[in-house]
Amino acid sequence: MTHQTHAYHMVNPSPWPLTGALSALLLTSGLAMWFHYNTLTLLYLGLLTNMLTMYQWWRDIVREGTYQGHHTPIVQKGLRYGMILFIVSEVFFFAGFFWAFYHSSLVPTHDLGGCWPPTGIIPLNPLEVPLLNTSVLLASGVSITWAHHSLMEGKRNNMNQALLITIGLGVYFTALQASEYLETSFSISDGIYGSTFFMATGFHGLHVIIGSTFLMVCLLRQLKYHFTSKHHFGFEAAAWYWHFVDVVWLFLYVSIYWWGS
Amino acid sequence: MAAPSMKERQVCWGARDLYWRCLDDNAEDAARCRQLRSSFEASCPQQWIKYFDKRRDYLKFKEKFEAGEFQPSQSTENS
Repeated sequence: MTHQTHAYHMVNPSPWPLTGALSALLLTSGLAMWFHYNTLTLLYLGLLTNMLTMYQWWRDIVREGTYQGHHTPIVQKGLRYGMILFIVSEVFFFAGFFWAFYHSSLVPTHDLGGCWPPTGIIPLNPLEVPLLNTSVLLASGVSITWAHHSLMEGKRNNMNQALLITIGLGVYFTALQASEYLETSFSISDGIYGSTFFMATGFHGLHVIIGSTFLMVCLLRQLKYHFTSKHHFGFEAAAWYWHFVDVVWLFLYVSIYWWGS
Repeated sequence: MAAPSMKERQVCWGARDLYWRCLDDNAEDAARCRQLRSSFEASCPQQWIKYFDKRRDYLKFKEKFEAGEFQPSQSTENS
């Protein structure tokens, strides 16, 4: 008998975990070479192999699920657990940066003047661009929910539009934040304020870019009719990730931009 | 070890003020203020002495900062 008698997915051998691990090695050693010897070669190699691995691995997953039908309900359940656990790990990642921020800002040291913001730091006005950024991400949360409901109701045009709007808002946030970075009177090397500000908001911005990219991939797949009204886990995963990014921003806004000013 | 009473605190602050005034008059030359330093150390709890020393360093930094002595270097202007 050549067919499996269970509903799970026994994945065919794949080179991508290996190339992924190798790319991680190139990325880390590349960073070290860049920091200490001012050479970018290894880092570029790492970025290239990393991008290639991601593209080919996820392309294979789309082939296995959408084209070959391997994503049965139980397989999808596993994918859901996986995405949830990944997002939980990201929560802990950000928790570290928030810990650093609160540790430094709740009991500011002498050299800062015993106050927060530290002496000499002029923080950004939380009621200007940062507030706009907050509204942009909240609106994107609404539009992505609209996209999801449209998808579930089989309303194709609405779904395409709403997803496009969500991506547009994500790009808008990134552009606004980039212009804010150019506007600050302080840099990452300006004491503990600069360090905590740029590490926390910087990694958040990176996650917005990652989330927007994930959503763009979903749009491309949607245009190619990959999703059905009942089965569209890739989109759900992107939506979960996007909501996570939004929530992190809310914490950042309240803690660093608002309370921290 | 009980916390200092109001009288003891006032003695401590007084000693600190005298010591700091001596430093102000002598351009931070601690060698010329040794007597006041030892009376300061005798009047105040250890932790307070450490705190006051750090506080003075910060206040001196703040004066310089507000006088505009720390400007970004040319090389970081446009980075």
